[in-house]
Amino acid sequence: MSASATPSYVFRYFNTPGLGETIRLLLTIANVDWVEENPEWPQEKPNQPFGRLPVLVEKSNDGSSDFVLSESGTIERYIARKYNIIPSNPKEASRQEQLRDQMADIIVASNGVKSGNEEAKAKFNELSAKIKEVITKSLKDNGNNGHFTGDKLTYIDILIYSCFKGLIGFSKTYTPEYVEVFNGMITPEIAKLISTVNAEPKFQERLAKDKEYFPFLA
Amino acid sequence: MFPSEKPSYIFKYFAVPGIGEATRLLLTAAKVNWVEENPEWPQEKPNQPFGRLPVLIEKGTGDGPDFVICESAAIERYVARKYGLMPSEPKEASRQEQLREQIFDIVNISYAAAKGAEGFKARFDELLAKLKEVLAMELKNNGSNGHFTGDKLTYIDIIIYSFFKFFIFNLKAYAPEYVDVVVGLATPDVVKLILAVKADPCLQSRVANDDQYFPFLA
Repeated sequence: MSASATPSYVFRYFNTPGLGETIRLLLTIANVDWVEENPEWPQEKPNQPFGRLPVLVEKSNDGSSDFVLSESGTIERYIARKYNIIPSNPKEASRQEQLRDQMADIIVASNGVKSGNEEAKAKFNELSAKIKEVITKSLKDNGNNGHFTGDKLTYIDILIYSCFKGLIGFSKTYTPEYVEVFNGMITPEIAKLISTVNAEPKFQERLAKDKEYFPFLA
Repeated sequence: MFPSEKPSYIFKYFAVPGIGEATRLLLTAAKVNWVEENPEWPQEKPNQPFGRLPVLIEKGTGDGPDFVICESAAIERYVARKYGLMPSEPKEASRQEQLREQIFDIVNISYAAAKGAEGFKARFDELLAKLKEVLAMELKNNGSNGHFTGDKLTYIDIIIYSFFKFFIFNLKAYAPEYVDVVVGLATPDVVKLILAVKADPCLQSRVANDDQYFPFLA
């Protein structure tokens, strides 16, 4: 076996979409060697740099030490930048990053909804309404071609897909009454983006069963 | 008057340190022209791209349109990268970004923890303990020189400084029982970093009166 020029990766997370799905898809589209580990939890907690998951380990092939990264957003940006999945134009990259942070706020708020926290519920309702509006407008402004930026798959397409998948998956288990809420956020433009990501050739194996989350998929 | 080569900025936030403080310091360290606006709230909510603050407006030079960014982390990274305050080495930049996210996870959890929400308090305690450990280790590994990376002011130094400044101030209002715990995170190396940021020549216009925010400097 010849030595690979690119590093290989170990991705540690729970066996669920959650906050890890974007990273899985980024690693897949980056065409790198990677494996997933689902550590025994909470036994493996002390062995993680911040006691949490996800964690990404970049294994070098030149004998230097592994590079270990935590925090889902940071991991996403590291891979997306390294493998040119996020636009290199700083303004366009920031547009995508800000949307990611908004989506992450929604995921955090949805956890609060699960705990029955009224304030979290109100925040969640407000954020989700706003983001539905913002994403739909951006997609329309980009020509409603199934992409957020330009005419090919970039970081934020993957992020939007994964977040909806994670939110719907989470709801099905913990807050079934919210499944319809999330479905209601999927405007025709967002559905087109989801279908486009799902149709990406490199994702065929990974996303084959996603009709479970997105009934509208062909 | 010649048109300015560097863009100028409008930073919109509330008139408190808060999560906007880091951006104020980054803009100051960047030596750009910037002004702050404190919008009437909630009257100005509908006029913000995501209905929230902070918002940064980069006024275009020449005829270019303004560039508007939201989300405190995205704003910080945009300014830090553009003006050379973020390490250019991608791994080192990611190391700094992950710590920022850890710090803000703590801030976000503090509200629920303060209200005694189930599970949040334990998580909050855990994250605080972990942050103390990580800060102490990283600063020691960098030679206890008052900086997180290398020997000059970078992004995460400003983040750490801002965190202690606004978080202790805020906790006094909604979770005073936690002030001592957070003050306890300021180990000698952390204090050294805070003093180094406070003494940085390019920040003097902003930090001159900051002693009041750091009980451990008394």
